[in-house]
Amino acid sequence: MKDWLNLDRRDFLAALGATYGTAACAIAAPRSWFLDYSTTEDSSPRERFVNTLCPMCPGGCGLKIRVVHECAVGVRGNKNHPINRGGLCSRASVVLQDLYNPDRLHRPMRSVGGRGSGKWEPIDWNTATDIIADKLRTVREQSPQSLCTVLGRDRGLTRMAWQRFMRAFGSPNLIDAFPDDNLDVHPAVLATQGIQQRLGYDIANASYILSFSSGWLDAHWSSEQAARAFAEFRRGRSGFRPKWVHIEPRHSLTGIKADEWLPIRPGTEGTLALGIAHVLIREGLYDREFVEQRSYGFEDWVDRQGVNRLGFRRMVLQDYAPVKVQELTGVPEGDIFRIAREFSVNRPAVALGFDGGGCGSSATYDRMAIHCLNALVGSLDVTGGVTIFQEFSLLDDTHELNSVASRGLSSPRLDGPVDQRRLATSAIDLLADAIEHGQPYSTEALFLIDANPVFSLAEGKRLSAALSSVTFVVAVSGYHDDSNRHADLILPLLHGLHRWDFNLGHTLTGHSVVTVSQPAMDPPSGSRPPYDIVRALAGRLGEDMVSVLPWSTSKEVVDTVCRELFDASKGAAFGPANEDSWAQLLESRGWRAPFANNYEEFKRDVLDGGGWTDPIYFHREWDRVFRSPSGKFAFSSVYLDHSFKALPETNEVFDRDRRCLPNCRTQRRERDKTYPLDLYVYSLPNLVAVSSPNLPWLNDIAGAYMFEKWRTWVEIHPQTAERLEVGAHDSVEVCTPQSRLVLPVKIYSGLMPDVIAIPFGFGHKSGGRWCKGIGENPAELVTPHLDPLTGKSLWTATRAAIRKI
Amino acid sequence: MAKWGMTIDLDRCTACQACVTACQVENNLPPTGPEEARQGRNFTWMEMIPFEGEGERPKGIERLLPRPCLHCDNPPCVKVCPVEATFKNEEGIVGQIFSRCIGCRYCTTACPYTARYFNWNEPQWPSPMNRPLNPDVSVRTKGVVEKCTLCHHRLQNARDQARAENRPLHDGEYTPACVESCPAGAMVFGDLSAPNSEVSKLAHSRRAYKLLEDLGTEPKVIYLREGE
Repeated sequence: MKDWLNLDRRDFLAALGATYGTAACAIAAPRSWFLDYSTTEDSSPRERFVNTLCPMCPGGCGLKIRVVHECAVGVRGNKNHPINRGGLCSRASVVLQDLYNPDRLHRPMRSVGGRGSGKWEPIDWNTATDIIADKLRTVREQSPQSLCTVLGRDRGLTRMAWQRFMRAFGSPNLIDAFPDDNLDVHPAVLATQGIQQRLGYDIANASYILSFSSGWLDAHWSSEQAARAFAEFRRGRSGFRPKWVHIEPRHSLTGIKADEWLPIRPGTEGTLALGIAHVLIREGLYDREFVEQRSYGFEDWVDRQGVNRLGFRRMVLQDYAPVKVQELTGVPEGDIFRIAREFSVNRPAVALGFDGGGCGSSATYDRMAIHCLNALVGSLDVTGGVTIFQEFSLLDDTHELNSVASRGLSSPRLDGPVDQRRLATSAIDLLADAIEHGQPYSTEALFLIDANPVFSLAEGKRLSAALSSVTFVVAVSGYHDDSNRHADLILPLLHGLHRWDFNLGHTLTGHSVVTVSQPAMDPPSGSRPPYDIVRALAGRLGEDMVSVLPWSTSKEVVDTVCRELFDASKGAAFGPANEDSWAQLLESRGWRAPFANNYEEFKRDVLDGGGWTDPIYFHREWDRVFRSPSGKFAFSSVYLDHSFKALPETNEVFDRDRRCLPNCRTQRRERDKTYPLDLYVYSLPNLVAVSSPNLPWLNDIAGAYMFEKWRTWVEIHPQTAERLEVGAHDSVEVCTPQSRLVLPVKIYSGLMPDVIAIPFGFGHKSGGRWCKGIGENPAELVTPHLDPLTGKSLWTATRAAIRKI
Repeated sequence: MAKWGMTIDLDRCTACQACVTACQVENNLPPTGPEEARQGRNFTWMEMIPFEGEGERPKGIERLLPRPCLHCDNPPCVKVCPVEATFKNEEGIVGQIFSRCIGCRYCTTACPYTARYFNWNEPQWPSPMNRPLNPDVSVRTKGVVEKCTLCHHRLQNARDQARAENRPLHDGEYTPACVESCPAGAMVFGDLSAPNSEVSKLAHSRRAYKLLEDLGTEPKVIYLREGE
């Protein structure tokens, strides 16, 4: 090999029978040869940089857009932004492909030739607004609650505007298309801590991580933060190497980067967590001080009626012995003992349950079981453990309701009565059923705001049919997609880089962050920002409607956000990463550096810097963190007790004694001869939560780590493949009780035997040239199985069979 | 004279591929589709290379390696170019003169890291996707070979700026797009000849290794292995 490398050019050419006389050419080439600068006509391009919000996912990162001649030509990360600190993810880099996408919609369109025909005619904005306003006026007069709005991933201005619009209109039906990605209540936190807040994991400072089917490097809601936290976890502390064990049915990208991967049967993660809890309790390895002083329901307890109730300790010791857990989960008993001991010794240790990876929600009880592990080792609200995001709200709606709105809002929601389903505010999976049966009332009008639930839901086909039966459907979208195909009208969604907006976010360490978006360039003429669309509709519906949206433009909304932040007298505009501990020390002693002398200076700093953050987070604020009736961490949840009283139909399903406790699977599922395999659907890392599927670079690299490009495949374990006599170049039909798909086979040893895995991300039936008709959508295969406490679909309950074709 | 190089810490890398797309947008790579992929004619200058596990109990993909052009100090591609379209400059960057390349593909064959790519098709940017092209980087045509240039245009710009301000080029002013975008801070770039530079220290740390080191290509992109 060495000889080959040392072959000089002359020999090489001689061997080929060619001679060239170019040996004397100089090594240093002129710059004009190396790089051709002829692409710019102007020798001094007018260049500027704009700090703004990344619109590609709801993570809330800051971008610095390079604009030359009023055209965005480059994207970098905002170095001062506390969420991404100058980093980008693969999706953020392609924001300009999204902005200048040839398939992007720019004009309002009306369906012609019948809804669902895929034929459209362009109309002007006024006509579109008139059509919608006429319909809404009728709906509001007759039954305002029969308007439904499905809202996509947005944590800022669009959400605020639609919340206000729907409330004033008199409809309770503002439904989240992606509840887990948005600001939805975390069911485990609500059940055990009594607070309606999201949580974060302080990965960077943890000494030991147990992640349960939580592909937090594949599909985190803030992928830049996850990557940075991982890097700090790995190499941030010299002389100390923390450990990370990942538990998932598939050896995912996350599993590859972990120290150890343990395969597990899909849907049994909570059972394993309780098996680990069993060892912690039996061997006395848990944090006694925390459990005794800060928790409730660990030991047996007496409820208000004076009835003795089962405690967490006795349930875990009775039901989740490691030998039994091994049988249920497929994780060896010895590993369960070892992990439990490691988890206890290496503190702060943190158990991650739910930050992406697999698709669909995890069962509430599984989430609770994993969250209880954090309580057992005292990792709640400590450095290196679980952080609970600070409560923070902007632009609260305090308008009084008129009689129409009050009447409408008193109706039950289409996705189930929210007062009964106490652990989730929104349940999109129940929408198709409600529309189909016209229960509790018929849906007369429906808005799809940057949401494509027909593609992303397990029962997308059913929702698709249901949408056809809604009298009037309007979509606000950037592209054609599987959902807005059923709309009467499509209004184009103005790209994020063209508009004023804001985003409410958090760092993993719990700090509040408000990112401000400002137009990098002037928007195209004739376009309308999403806020203007809502306000124009409100204006047509009457004075009472428009009064809840008092700002005439979205820029004015952002001004008010800045004003509220200034008046809050805390935090500051983004600046270089500073020593948070210094600011914290000062604030704890009643000091504060104001950073800005007046509002105008503050606003300029916020807009120039890209946003505002409050760098203060105090750990162990127990009053803030535990708001359950006992004021402690509830191993046994009174919240759940209330839920069950309100949901009589579930009382038959769950044992009364165990229903308040993390009550995970204790029986192995019966063997199904027709569908002997478990289906595991996972998200393709680069396509997670992305605002547009029509991005060629992302679609090109999404399967790269599996040697795949531009298609959907099914992964089968070598043992399973051998038994089924399936080879690497075959195509098979994957059958579930729900549907069937023909897919190429990939033999993959990084799987639990008898589990098949399919990536989610491709398979759009409508859309742009780089997504329509490419690959298949595994959501079609998923058997709907709803969590009774949240109404969310659990994808891991699907059984499948494979037929060679 | 600086000797530019980079370290990639695999213990920090999450294989998120942010570097891949950041490179594409910076260097005007055209969009491709499933047809080009089927023919194996789509490419990215920075590539994420998966390694499958072996042995009695393989676990599927076990390692992932981001791989740009390694800018070898002893570059096999330069030796075989019949027209001097590829060269190593005095700062160690292996450059490519696109307008001089005759498309013989000797270099793509000679590169042991498969870091060179041939344009089988005329690049297409369906309007208006041609608008955000980076004005600092030329687009390539059908029939020429292209590769990572370590974002050399950024060096030119930074040097011009320093010259205009009558000062030397400062450390950190020149950073390729992949390094700049990495959210995990896994890539460190700088002057390998400066003994106190961060990149130089990392390149001489005990975790450092060079890809296919026994070939003697002496790459200036140095990996830091996972583990302690």
